[in-house]
Amino acid sequence: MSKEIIPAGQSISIAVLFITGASLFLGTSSQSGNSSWIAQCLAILLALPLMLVYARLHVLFPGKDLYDMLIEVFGSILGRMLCCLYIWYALHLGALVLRNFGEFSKTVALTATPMLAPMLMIGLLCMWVVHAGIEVLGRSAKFLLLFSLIVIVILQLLSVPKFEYHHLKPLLHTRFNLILADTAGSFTFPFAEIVVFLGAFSAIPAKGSAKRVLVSSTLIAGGIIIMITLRNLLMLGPDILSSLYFPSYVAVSRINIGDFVTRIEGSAAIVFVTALFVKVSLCLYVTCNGVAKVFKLGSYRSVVLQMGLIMIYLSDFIYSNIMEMEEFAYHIYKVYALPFEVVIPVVLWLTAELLARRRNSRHKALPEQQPEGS
Amino acid sequence: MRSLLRRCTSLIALLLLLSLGLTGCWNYAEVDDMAIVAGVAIDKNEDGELLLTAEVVDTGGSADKAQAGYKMVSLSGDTMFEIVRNMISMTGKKLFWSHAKAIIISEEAAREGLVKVIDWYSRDTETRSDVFIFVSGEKTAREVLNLNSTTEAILSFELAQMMRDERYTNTAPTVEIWDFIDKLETSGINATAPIIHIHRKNGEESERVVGTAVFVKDRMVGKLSGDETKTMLIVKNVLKGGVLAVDDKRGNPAYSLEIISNQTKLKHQMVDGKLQIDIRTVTKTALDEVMTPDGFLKDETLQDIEQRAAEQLQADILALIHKMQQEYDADIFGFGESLYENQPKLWDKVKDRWPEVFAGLEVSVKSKVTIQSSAKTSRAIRLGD
Amino acid sequence: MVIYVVFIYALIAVIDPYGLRKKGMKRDFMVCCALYLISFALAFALSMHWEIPSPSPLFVDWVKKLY
Repeated sequence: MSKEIIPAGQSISIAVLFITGASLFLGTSSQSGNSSWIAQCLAILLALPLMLVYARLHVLFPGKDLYDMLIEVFGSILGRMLCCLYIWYALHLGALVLRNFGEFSKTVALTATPMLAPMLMIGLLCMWVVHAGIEVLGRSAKFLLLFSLIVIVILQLLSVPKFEYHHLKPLLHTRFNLILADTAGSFTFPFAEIVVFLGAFSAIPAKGSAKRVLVSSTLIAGGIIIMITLRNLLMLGPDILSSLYFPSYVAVSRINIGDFVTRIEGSAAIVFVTALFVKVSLCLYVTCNGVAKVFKLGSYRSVVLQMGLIMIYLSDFIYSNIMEMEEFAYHIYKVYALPFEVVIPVVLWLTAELLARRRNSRHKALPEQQPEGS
Repeated sequence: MRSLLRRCTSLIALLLLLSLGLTGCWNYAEVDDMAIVAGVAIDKNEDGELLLTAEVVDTGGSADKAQAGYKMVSLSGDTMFEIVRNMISMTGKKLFWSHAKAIIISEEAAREGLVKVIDWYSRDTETRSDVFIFVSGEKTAREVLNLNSTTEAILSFELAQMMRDERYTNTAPTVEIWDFIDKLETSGINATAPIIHIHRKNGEESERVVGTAVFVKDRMVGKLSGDETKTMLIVKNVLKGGVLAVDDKRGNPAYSLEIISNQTKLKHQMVDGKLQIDIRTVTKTALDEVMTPDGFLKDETLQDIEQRAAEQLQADILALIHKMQQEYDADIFGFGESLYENQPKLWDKVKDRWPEVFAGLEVSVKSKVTIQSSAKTSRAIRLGD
Repeated sequence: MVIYVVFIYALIAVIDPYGLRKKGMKRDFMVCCALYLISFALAFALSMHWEIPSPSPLFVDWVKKLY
């Protein structure tokens, strides 16, 4: 299997659609009422140093992805165990996101359809894309990002007549610990989830700049999410916002231009589906990649079909109802995801720096010996 | 050759499979199998149960009728959803709510509390939240809905059209359900809803929307007349049009000012431990009617009329606020909400006892009315001989 | 519904693990078989409407204990 490389523009598209994915319709936890956009700004600021850590990993291990790094740094046994953790994390995340979509379609769009049907359709599409290779995903993501951006901008413009600016007041009156809780929530979901992209780092060109990809995609995606949060806040107000499962959907349903452009929320859902599709595909790719690396398979393509099906089934039985899903996504996830998003990568980075330094010093001290590692 | 055959078969298989998935539906229902609900009236009957009357559009009507026919279906039960589902036994079709435009609630049901009636409507996915909500000024709500038998038109759609044109008269607020629920949930503002009356004249009946129903929490506690409603809309800064009738020097109604725009600003202050609200209104109008032939440019100038209009407006506003403070303790103007938005620290101190604080508010009003034009003619109609 | 699942999985078995075996990738074949059995078990359980225990409550309990 030849190495699949995707240029920077496509990586950014994948990353942006990945980050905005579920937040386009689910929103983020809104305990801080009308200061939730401030919490998101803080979350972006928090995420930027983390992006720099991830980018540094790419410099330390050019051309390798997360699993290779783990196995190299922590050795065969421990490294493989950590890889299994990440396989589970990516699988779980993909199932979660797919379930978001299933709940959405069951609640507002296709209420009589059993949840498995739309999830299966999207899941099959994701399996096809992953099987075709990450280059295909990159190319589609680039086009889909353009399309989504146009739709989002149009929706923003159409909703301007319904903005009630007094919903933003009073500014900064919420207690600070609520804003902190929201920041932690926004940080883990969705900004730091880009750790999944580490599992696909082998696709970024070895000479390329992972820093540029990660930082710019965080900023772009963050901008989009803040724009959408502000729109929802201005249209709905903080009180109703906290009671809704899908705030963007309700906000868009209020758009009414001259009595002609109304009830477009169904079409607006298309943005949700495209971003979600990219997110699930990336999660599936990383999962299969992980399985291939752990079991030393010839190619990740061998397991795509089975892993995809398992992900779809997992998304069906992982929650019994939407309230469990909401509780998990808003309250539990920020703690559960921290080890995967922050702890392990930072430990990996520190260990890798130490090893690199030791390697360099040994290289300098004994120039005739072969350098260790690859 | 073999590979081409394989490719063709796999393509056809793929197309067939795709056609299964691309239809995008799991089941379907014909329009004829659904009963489209245009409006619904909610009453309480003698047993204390809810009585729902739905105005259903008759899709089976003959093709030569210019308008769609309608049918009335009435049923009682304990909970809204139960009644709605049981109605299938009466219409033979499942009710389709997405086109509903009006909900009329009887005063009795409104006085008991609206949450139990509205929760189903806002939670269900088929019902939309942009329906207009009304309170019936008659004894029951279904009388109003039954007016469609005399007007031969679907009443709910007419009511919706009336609400859209309401910005010209402004004698009743236009309240959609999401707006109503929003005001219920927000502390610092009380909900209101327009009232429908039946206007009987010469044996003909027609619906008339005028006046407001005032709610405290979710119970109706009082009513406002059409003029008071206009004043309320001015204070809430949502007035978009309407008429200000001004008396002349002798107190007889003489001038009509058409309101072009209105801006109201509120300012809150804490003076000696008592909350004070300063209301400033600036109203731009046009002189649209002069009823006396000898006023205007002879007895008084435009400034006099403006002055008198402003004083009248101030008096009306003060009277309305005092009525709200003394009779109902209902802050329908949103003073609490604007206090929260502008001075949250002050709001924190008083938010738990807002109704009492509202009753003890000191209010000062300053109005300014400017007449921008006098429409087509520059003077009153002079009576020659 | 169950019958459809069984048929479709028989078809998948021909395409996926068997296809890998024909290509000669031994390891891939083993892993694919294992995953195939897992996914078949899940699909069967879902179509028979059996209750599958979800790992999610475990996580919720762990996190709640930390607090």
